[in-house]
Amino acid sequence: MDEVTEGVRQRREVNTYNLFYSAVTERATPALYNHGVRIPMFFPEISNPRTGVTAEPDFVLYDGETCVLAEIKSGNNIDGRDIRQMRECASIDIEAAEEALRAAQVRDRIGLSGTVTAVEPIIIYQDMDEEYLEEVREESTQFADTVDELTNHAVLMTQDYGGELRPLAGEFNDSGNLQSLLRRGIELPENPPDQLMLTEGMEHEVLAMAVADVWGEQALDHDDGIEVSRTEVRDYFAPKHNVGLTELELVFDFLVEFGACEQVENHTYRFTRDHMDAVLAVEQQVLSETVQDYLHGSEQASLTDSFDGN
Amino acid sequence: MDIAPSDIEDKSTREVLDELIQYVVTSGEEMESKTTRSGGQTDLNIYLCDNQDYDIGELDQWVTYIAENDGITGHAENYVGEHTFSEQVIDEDISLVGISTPAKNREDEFVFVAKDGYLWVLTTVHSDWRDKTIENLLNYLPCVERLYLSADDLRELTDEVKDARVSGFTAKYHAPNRERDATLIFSGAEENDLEDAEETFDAKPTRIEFDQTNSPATAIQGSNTNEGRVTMRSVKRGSEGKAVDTIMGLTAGYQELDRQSFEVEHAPVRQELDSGFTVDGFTAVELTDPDREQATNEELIADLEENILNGNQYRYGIRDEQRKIRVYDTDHDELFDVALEPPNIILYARESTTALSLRSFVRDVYDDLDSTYSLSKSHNPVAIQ
Repeated sequence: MDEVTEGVRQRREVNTYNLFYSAVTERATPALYNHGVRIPMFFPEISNPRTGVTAEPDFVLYDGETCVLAEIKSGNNIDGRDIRQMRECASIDIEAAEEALRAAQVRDRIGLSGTVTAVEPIIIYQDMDEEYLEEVREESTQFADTVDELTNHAVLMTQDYGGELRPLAGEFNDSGNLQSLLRRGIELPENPPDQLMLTEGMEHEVLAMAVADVWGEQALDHDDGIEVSRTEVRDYFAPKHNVGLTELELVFDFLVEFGACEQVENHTYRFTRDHMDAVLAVEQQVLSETVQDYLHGSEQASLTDSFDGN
Repeated sequence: MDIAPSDIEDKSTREVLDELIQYVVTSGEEMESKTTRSGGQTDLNIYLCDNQDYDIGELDQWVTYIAENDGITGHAENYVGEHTFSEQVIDEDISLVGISTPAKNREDEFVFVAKDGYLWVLTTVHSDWRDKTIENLLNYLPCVERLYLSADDLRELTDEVKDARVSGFTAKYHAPNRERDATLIFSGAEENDLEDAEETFDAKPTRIEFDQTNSPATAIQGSNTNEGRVTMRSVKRGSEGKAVDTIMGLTAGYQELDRQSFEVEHAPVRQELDSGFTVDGFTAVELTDPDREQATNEELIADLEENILNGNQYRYGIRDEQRKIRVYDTDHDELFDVALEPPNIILYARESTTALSLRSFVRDVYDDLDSTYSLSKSHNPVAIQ
């Protein structure tokens, strides 16, 4: 079956975050970490009290001088929302960035001063290269305008497995160490580690994977397993991810039915080592069939289809 | 070995070694007349183990645990059923352990030394019996695991032995997926033979013998294996001090190289912040550049399933459209990820991963899948300094 399932699409989105994360690890060349670059936070909300604008980048990179606000996209489709997001990031000034780093306790945790000399918004598209950009620019003036507007606010970059993280269009505001590293390009691993398991969409499939990953793994440290309530799961993924309790209800129905955990009380579930076989199989399951279909079956839909066909 | 507790009481590790070296001390003439290494004589062997949770004096508890824990395999249960164990505590980090085999009316003795997160087991018991007694015990104790060196590290370690020359070796070529589908074991006498074997056949050393001089004559004959065992075969009278130095140097070297290869200093740990969160830490063990043609992900997964993952130790799930395998090591209760970059295999540490599961998997790869991989580790913090 070559058709891309909903689960596969969500998995690919998650992978784009993990690929970007790998740029700081020693499997990248040069590894940003070795040049003093850290990731002090994922998915923060950074507000500028002077303008009232709040930016929500996916990643923050920081090296003691430059603060990079990075937004990661899994495709090559530039839309109006992207421009709005980068406009928000661009409106974060040095003071607002410093305040965000202070809130993230950078000085205590990272030992960097928390001083910012430049804020650089970047947006990374997974499936984009110079050739594509050139071609579509020539074909469509509207696209050309969109790119120009986007690069007014951010540097447009691309990344690829076993390929490079590198800029395609736009200019950095400043010329620090981090900017020159990004400008030169970073070679990325072919298959990065899974550190982040949620997309922005919070669909059932990716949520089931994330819940199984997080609590399935924690269960290993306890002989009797570990219990978690729906609200605890919601809080764990807050603030960036607004996980709805009704969404979680369906996801847990699926996980219980699939044998990845058991329900102990109304809204509480237990993961133990004995569930590990099923926990390990959750991803393969949700990549092949949606959580809804697993629980309620797809017969109804296909029955209607076949009637329509007649 | 016939050791009285008083022989090793209140002694430093160095002094204990000195005591045990006496079992292999020979006169100069005997040394020179010894031209073959048949393995019949009494050797002093030291097993080096990563010690996660074994405290001196706890042997009884662990044996009971093996006997009663349902998760432990039948082999281990039979083993503890067929032997009896005694542990005489000498002081807080040294004990004298006896393993008897009633069916054969035999009792074998071992000195346990626990130090700095490592367990050393010293013995002069003959290899036939070591297999059946201590090697099995170390294999079944869940809290202890023998150190493991890649072939390159083993060579490096031997090169560092002062005044020594390679005088023999065993090397292995095992790569069933290479077109020539061969497993060969090489034994050689001289260092050049080892170089030839490596260059011609990609055979990797698993055991290296060395002769050490106290000029001009050979004074010490020893060997070491990639599975954390140092052997002193004979030591000429007068060279005991140097032999102890050699052992101390080798053990420190093993521990350091093993740590470099497998210790997870930076496991990914998630932390909540007021705004957002962090995941700090990254560790990958990379198995690269084997003597095989390019493989597809499917082929590599099939090879891993057939040779490694099929046993009792592992549960696993294939993820990310066959780009990764998440592996649960039931022996150690740890998860880790195997990322496929054919023909290379990358192990990514998860929060629960320690050296135990990484080392164990890598060892399986060398023994059962392909001995020609090179090993390296990359690791760094991500958020903190």
